[in-house]
Amino acid sequence: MSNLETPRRRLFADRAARWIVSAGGLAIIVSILGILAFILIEVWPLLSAARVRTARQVPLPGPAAGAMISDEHRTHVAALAADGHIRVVRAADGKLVLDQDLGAGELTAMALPPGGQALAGATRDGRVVLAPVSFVVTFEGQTQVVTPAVAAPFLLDLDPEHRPLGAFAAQVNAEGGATAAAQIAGGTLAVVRRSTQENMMTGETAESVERFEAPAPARLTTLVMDADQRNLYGGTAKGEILWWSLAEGQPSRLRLVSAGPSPITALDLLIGGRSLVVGQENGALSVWLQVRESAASETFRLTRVRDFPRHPSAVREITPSQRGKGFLALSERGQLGLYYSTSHRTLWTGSAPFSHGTGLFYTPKADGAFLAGEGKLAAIDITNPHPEVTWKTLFGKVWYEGYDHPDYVWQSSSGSDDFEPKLSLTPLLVGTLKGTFYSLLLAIPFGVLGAMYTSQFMHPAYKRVLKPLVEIMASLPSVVLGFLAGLWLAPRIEKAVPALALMAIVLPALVLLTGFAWRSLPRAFRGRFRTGTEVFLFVVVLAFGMWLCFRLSEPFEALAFGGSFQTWLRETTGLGYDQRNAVVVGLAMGFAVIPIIFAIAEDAFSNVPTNLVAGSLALGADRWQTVTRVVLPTASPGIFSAIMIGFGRAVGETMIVLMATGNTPIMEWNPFNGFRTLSANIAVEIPEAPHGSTLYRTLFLAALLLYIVTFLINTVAELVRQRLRERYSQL
Amino acid sequence: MTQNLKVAPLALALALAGSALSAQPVQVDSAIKGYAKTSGVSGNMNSVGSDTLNNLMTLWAEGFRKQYPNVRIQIEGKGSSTAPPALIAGTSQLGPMSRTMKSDEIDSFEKKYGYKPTAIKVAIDALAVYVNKDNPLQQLTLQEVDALFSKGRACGGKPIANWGQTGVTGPWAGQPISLYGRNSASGTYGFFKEHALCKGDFKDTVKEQPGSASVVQGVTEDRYGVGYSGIGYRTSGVRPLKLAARKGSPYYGTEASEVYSGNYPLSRFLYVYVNKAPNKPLDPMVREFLKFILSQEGQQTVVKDGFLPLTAKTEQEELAKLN
Repeated sequence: MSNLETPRRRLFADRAARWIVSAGGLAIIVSILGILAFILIEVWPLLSAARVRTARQVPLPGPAAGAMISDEHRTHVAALAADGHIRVVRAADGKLVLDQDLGAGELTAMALPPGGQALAGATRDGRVVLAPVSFVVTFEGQTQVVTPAVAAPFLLDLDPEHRPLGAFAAQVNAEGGATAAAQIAGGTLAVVRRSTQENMMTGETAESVERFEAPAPARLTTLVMDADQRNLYGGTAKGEILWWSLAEGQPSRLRLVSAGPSPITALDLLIGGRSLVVGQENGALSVWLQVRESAASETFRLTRVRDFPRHPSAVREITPSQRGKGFLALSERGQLGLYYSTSHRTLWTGSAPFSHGTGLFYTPKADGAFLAGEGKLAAIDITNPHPEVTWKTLFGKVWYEGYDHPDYVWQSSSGSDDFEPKLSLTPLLVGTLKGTFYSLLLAIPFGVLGAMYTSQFMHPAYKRVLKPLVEIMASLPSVVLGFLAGLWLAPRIEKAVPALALMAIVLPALVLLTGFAWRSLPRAFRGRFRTGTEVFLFVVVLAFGMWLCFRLSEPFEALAFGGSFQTWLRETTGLGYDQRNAVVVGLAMGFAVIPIIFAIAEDAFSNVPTNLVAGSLALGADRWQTVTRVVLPTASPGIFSAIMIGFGRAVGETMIVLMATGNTPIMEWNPFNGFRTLSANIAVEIPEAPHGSTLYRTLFLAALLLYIVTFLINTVAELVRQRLRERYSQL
Repeated sequence: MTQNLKVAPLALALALAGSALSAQPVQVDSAIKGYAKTSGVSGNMNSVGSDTLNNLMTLWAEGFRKQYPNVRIQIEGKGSSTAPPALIAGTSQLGPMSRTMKSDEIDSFEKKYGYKPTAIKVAIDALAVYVNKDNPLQQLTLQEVDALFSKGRACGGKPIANWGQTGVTGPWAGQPISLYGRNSASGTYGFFKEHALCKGDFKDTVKEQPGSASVVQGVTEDRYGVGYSGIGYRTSGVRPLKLAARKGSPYYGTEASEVYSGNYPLSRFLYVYVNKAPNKPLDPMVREFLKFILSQEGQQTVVKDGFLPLTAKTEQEELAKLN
């Protein structure tokens, strides 16, 4: 009976073990798939399209409104109409809340200055009126109450002869400094600037008004001024774009570029005032930037950087978003389009709620729009969560504001609203590969050759000690390595580059020399040492070599590099030297990867069947021949996977690169400057990325990319390993 | 003579605290009242946000815990941009920030709570441009600072790549400039970009450090380095430059008098953001902590950490926001 007991228990244990192992394996597969699913769920919304929907239409009293502004909660709309009244209506039901006459008479043109909080109009008698509109939010209990208010209007006299004005532009800032520009009856451009200065002693505000004139080459169809009141842009009926700088008060020399023969019908500036959107009679829609004439130049010219699909009729209204570089455009026959400049995306096009719109406003939170016309006001809902991202912005070159040319840039966020996020993953991919390359450059020879020596030549007594020792290296936390590399190693390497260069030549030479010297010693002398102890001789030799290199560093630097390696590098190759560079990371990350490669490769070498080795030796091959011709090919699948696992580790390594490089997202293979990797980038930026934002999802996309890279590498590695194994299984 | 003897211990105390580096020791306005302890304050509180304010928050928390031993405060300082997500998610009650919130951050907050977050000014900082202590350079214009750090030179200066182009002569002139800065989560990064770079972009070669202390450490170790950080992080290994707002205008240092007068072009307020529902009192622990910060003791801590205390007028305005 007892004889049967044992096998049953064993069977049970056997089965249990199989279940536990299978369950464990399955759990790993499920959790990896779970992680993949989670990443995909977070990335997916990046691809979602914009939705534009007319929510409701309410009547808008008074004559046609030419300019509008709403509060950020979209509860009220203030509209400026040709009769010189601002009417504030409730967006929910069209109830007239406020009707204020600006006291300037009838208006010939109306505008909402870009980025401004004021409505502007040009009067029949040569003046420009600016009325700041505010929406005060108070709380009654917990309910929010919005109270619209129109402040006392500013009136600026542009034409002393009080004739009706042509195209006009105006701006007012929070301190009451206002500038208006318009083409007056004779065709000249008039600019009036009102500035205020508060006297600190008396508290009185002194007001001064200056007036300038400048020639205009043709009849202006439209004018627009940036929020800083420093640049003025105009469009002509001949399709020219004009640009004056107002920084000195007096309009600067006119700069003129042509946008094609079709008349300019609409002009506006995107948030930040650097991108000029131009709409034309033939429906063309383009974005222009101020670009330096050459990299070192101090002068700029307007450059057409993007064209959007043409509207079927003349573009009448362009309205910028106040959250990012998006804008809305409305054409004469009622086509409405939603665009995003940076990503060059046409997010939505369709018919406006009615065909004759006179005023268009993109709400402050970019979540809706208001369209006025035909005595009605239409409230439009816009859902457009991630307009900044396309494959092009993620992986291609993009022409950003303030850049001389299109480029790959990663600068994801900043402290101001008008910042243009630059989310190119290309520099990060390059950085990841650069870091991996330089660390494997160190880790592969050391790891593989070290393993080869340890398993094949070293005395087993030392091997028993050495192997665990190397494996302990792997247990060093990478944050410690990164810290040491960044703060201790980097400044020392900066001084020791010539010594390192010298070592690359001197150490191998010394080793070879010692090898030959050792062999030429009499066999009787060599026989006194245990085989496999030669390594200690080499330790001494290498230590001496390193010491020698450091001693020779300075004379060598003087001789080969003219006294300073960094200067030599810059002058001969044009490359910069950065203290936190790829060499430092290569050393630190190499240190982290060596034990991994070593451990797996050593196992691969040791697992080569002894009968193969014995057979080879018995046939007369010497030790070295056996290792290179028999052991190495047989172990090659294992070595290959060792290298691949080392590669995977280096690709995903975060803390070392985070701390030891400057995290500079540059795209150069120069070993003496830094880089920024995908993983370090995620670690650096995820805490600041608001949940669900574009940056947040882009970082998840970076994670997905890392996942794919590792997955691909592992799959390829496994396939190659299988093939190699098949090939060498006959040995 | 007796007067001198009285001053000596005070000066010594300030020197030990590391702020007597500036010419005159900074005094907290005596109109700011001392902290009056109340009862019933206990519990846990989290602070997530600015790295610039990190040391200061820790010191305030220590001082506060002396008053209320049953209070526990956890402080995390990875950068100002980490404050809004944590405040919105409700994982922190205090959001120290070295810049004001951006509109989209306020949007997200408002979307969740229906009202805007409340910003309390807690200290004044002079954002300093540090060079290595051995660097002969004394001063720069903001335009030159922009040309050093930015790609596009939006402020309109000439490109600068080596120390010679900043006006240094001798052996330093040919040396290239090594740039240190903060990561983009930092409010200091955002503030510097907006006020020193005319909103232009940083060069890709600016080494992004995770904290203010790392920037200073980097410049200390790197002879040809230059970086920016709050004045509270000044050490003996670095020296803040004098700055001029534009070419031709005078250069001002980071001394208290120049910062208060607004002459130093990169002075700024430091904030703590809190979630205060309109017409509802703040959580007593948060309220008392902010009151402590705005008290004589709290503002002396500011001086101790190397930053500048609020004026009595600002302090009164900020106190009023708490009720």
